[in-house]
Amino acid sequence: MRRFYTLCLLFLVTMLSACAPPINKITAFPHMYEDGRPITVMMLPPINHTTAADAKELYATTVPVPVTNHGFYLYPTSVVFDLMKQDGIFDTEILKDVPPRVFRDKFGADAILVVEIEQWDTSYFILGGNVTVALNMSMRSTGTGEEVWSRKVKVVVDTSGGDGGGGIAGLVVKLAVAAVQTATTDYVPIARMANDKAIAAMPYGKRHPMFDKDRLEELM
Amino acid sequence: MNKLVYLPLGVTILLSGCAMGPPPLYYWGNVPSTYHRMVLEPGDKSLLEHEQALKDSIRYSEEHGKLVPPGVHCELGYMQFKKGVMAEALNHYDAEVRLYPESKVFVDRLKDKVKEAQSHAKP
Repeated sequence: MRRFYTLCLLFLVTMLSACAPPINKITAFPHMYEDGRPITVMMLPPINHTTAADAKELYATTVPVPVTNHGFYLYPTSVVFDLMKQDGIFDTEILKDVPPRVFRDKFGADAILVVEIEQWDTSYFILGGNVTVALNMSMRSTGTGEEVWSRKVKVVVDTSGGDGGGGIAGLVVKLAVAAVQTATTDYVPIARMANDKAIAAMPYGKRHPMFDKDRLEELM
Repeated sequence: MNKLVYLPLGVTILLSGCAMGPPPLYYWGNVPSTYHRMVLEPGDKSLLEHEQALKDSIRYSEEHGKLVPPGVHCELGYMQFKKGVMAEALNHYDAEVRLYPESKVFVDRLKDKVKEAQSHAKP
């Protein structure tokens, strides 16, 4: 009998959570609206879980524009990478043992941006191919060590160049496919799309006109 | 028939412009492309193009009353430092801190490297 009631409760909870309202920014990321919220951000060399050797450096080229336009002071990634290489901590195996506090004390960063590149590849199927970039992004306070923001994002682009239909729609799809196909020796345009998706879910930084005014903005 | 295709395409492009939000905070110009190229094809040519793109971003920003994007002066300064042009490196570092006081600790670290290089250079 008890088991029956437990199952009923579980069922009820599951049904109710499906009816839950979409979450807003302040509910998802409360630390981003508290004192000590990050103003300066340092992106660490990404953790590369893929076999693409150049993914880290290529990915880094896509970060400054969206993050700074979102209102954060992001340290120039090429300079940061150079400094890390000189200090012998560019390799993420070593980097992950460095406490966040170090980046605050030595470089004045309020937060570190930690990105894991989960997928950075092209997969082929019979009639075409997919290019995929999947990222796991996390912002961590260097003061408290806590994670203040995170997002997982995946963008898959079908490059099979299939028939997009006739007329204008077909023309635009074919142009887009051609553009992506010529760029598929690297995945930067797709990484940019992935960043845009992820950063849309980030609270605005200090320099953005909407700073602190986006608390109730709903996350998709 | 072919020419008629361009009219709705043109309208679509125009209307999609109307759907966009307020302009971005900063003018980055070609910087992401030149940065990308530097990673794909490292060398003097791509380095020079990137330097040019950073300078263009500064010029455009100043001409249009926008703040130079975060890190641009910093990166230019660092490029001068690597070439051994220390005075110009320091000028860019100072510009970065003027525009972005929050960058002070980071820029101080970069200035330390200039001092270090200068002290080694002394006979």
